[in-house]
Amino acid sequence: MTKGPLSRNKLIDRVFKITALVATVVGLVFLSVLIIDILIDGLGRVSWSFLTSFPSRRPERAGILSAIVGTLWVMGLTALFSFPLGVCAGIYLEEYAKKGVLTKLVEINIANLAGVPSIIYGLLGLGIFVRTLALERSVISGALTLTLLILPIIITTTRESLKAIPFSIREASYALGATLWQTILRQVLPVAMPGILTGTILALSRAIGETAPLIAIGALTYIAFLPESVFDPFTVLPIQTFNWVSRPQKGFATNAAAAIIVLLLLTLIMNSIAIYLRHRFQRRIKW
Amino acid sequence: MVDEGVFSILKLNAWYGKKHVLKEVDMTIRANHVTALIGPSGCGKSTFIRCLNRMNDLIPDFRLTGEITHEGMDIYSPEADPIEIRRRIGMVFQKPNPFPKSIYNNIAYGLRIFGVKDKKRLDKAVEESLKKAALWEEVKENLHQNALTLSGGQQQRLCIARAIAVNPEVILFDEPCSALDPIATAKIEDLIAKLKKDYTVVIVTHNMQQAARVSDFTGFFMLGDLAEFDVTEKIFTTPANKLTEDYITGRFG
Repeated sequence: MTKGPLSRNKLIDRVFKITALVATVVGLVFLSVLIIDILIDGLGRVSWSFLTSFPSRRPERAGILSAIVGTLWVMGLTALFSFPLGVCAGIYLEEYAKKGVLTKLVEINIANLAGVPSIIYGLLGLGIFVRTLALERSVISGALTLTLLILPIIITTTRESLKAIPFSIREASYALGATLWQTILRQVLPVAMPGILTGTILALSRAIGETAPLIAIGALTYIAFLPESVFDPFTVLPIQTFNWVSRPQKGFATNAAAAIIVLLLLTLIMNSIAIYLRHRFQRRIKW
Repeated sequence: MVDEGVFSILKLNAWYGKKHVLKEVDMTIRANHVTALIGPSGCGKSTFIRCLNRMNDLIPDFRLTGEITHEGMDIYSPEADPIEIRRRIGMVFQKPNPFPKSIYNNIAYGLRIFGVKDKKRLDKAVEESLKKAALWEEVKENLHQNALTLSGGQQQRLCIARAIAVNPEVILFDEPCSALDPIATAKIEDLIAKLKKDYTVVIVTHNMQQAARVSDFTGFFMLGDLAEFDVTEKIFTTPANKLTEDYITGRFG
């Protein structure tokens, strides 16, 4: 082997490979440490009675029932509001809107909205839903606020999914005398749906962990009853966790870790569904 | 060309933005014959065929002047409905483009969008169209299989069956064999020759042998002009235009 540019290039190649590897390991190590730490702290606390008890002043008797139910309520309503709104807006912008300055402006704004800090949405929700519409600090105010938060993500995902459908499919449909609406409903949307659903679920799993906007609209931290209608006050898992973390007693720290485990599990389940859908989508469609 | 054709095209000009792609094209296309359109890439032949069923409407900066009448109706007049026109004038594209659905649903789609729900009628239409497209024997056991699992040639015949199913009067073929191997190409050519019994066929092709084999009339496009249009045999034996001769003998293109 002679020394020359070839061996130098190989060296650079190795160096880059090792750098990339280190970068990957750093991320993974920190994540693992975090998860292991939480599991050590909280796993022993996760039990049926923890899941089915209301919060309490005594940490060993406290549970997350109201937080889980609140999270499910808020998430369910958020999905119900954001999915149809986001998908319809995405379809309009991608398929119907005339491409022009105005459309471009709307597009840019939606892209920017996806990056606005969530606390801003919380303040918006406080102003509009809690005060102006007098919906109070209720489940519906929370759900509407989170809807605003993830709407830009769903709109963007919908547009990307629609854009990914080959033009040849639309052409085939038009050439048979189909209208734009028939083409969208029967050809484009069914193929785009797994992509749209994946994006929606990922957006919802972002919303499930949101704390700031819900604190801003005044979600309570101590709720010893279950919401009976959408106009009742509520709490959610991240807020319950936040509350426990700020308590001095050791027992509440354990509770917080246990609540985080439950929240992580919920997120994991949602992401798994998203991955499953994407996988199915990729396997089924080969152009 | 004395009699009235299915299509008569008068002084057709077309533009993409500022680019003038068709210039003063006059042509008469006759019923139950195969008309082939040949010419080098970018000569306007694909643009021309897409004017015939208003597929160019989908392109934002496309513009056209002149007149195209189909069965006596000006298809670009304000009263003309592009949906109706595309239903009567079917199209098969360059790359096979079946829907990512079953074979059955690919063909039934065209009928369903016009409100046909009757299962028996759909079954019958699927069978008849697949037979006409010479695909029935190969797929009759697997009608509910995804169309994308078929070979390229089978997919293209499925697209032909899909076009036939809505019972059009004309079928436009835009380079239907350019993505296919010679055996699949031969099958499609056989099919086109048979289709002219029931339909008027217009085919754009890059392949001059193909034009010579399947067509009755041939138009030669050159830089947006229809340089020559005549009986196929005459175009390929004694073309009137020097350009046509140069092109078909392979001197350019």
